[in-house]
Amino acid sequence: MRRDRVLWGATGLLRLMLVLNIVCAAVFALALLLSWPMQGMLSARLTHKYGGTLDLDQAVLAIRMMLFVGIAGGVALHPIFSNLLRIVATVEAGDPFVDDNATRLARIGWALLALQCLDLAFGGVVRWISLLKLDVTGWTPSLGGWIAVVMIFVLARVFRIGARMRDDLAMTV
Amino acid sequence: MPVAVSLDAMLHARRMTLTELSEAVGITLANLSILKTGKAKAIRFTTLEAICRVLDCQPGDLLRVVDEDERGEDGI
Repeated sequence: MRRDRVLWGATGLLRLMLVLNIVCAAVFALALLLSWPMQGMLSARLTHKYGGTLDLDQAVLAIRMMLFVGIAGGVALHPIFSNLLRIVATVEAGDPFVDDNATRLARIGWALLALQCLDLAFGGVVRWISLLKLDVTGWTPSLGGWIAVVMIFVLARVFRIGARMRDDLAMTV
Repeated sequence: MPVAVSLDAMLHARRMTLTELSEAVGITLANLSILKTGKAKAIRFTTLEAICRVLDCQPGDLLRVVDEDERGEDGI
């Protein structure tokens, strides 16, 4: 049977994102760990860029918080990619309307909810960093993300009921 | 409560094969086989009506409620 191009592309993209996410989380973790032995160098760079008035302890702590949020984001993202890959595999196998996929969708919903909460934490860190007068990108709350969380939970419920209805219809003549 | 399907006996009485019934009612042989062997979980009214019309019988001639100990005897 010829493989569906969309599914083939989705599988490849999801695998790539899964690996990139792990790499990014590992880099954040390494940077966080190195921020202690290399604190002197980091402080020197910050002083060189922002001058002596900067509260170095607060600035370094804020950077560490940012890295921690990055690691937590990677941990939250992982189940999204892994569960989506499993769902795509069931579509390829020709039997996606199963209770397991409803559970996977619900897991994705929880992961998205965790990401949204982390986004709020990220916003707090960004605000903190901007108060320290450090260069930082702006942050706006993601309304679309919250809608996606609700949508995924509703879809998971629809999927679960659909899978049960299909089970009821199985072996119906 | 188990429901026995007497399709085999009815086919025998009408001197008809399962393949002929399948062609007459427009239901796949596989699905009729599931019904005949008692593996079906449910039967649609449309299926029941089509079979009854072809076999010239009533639903009660095809389906009957049996006791647990009769399971496995006649397409249950």
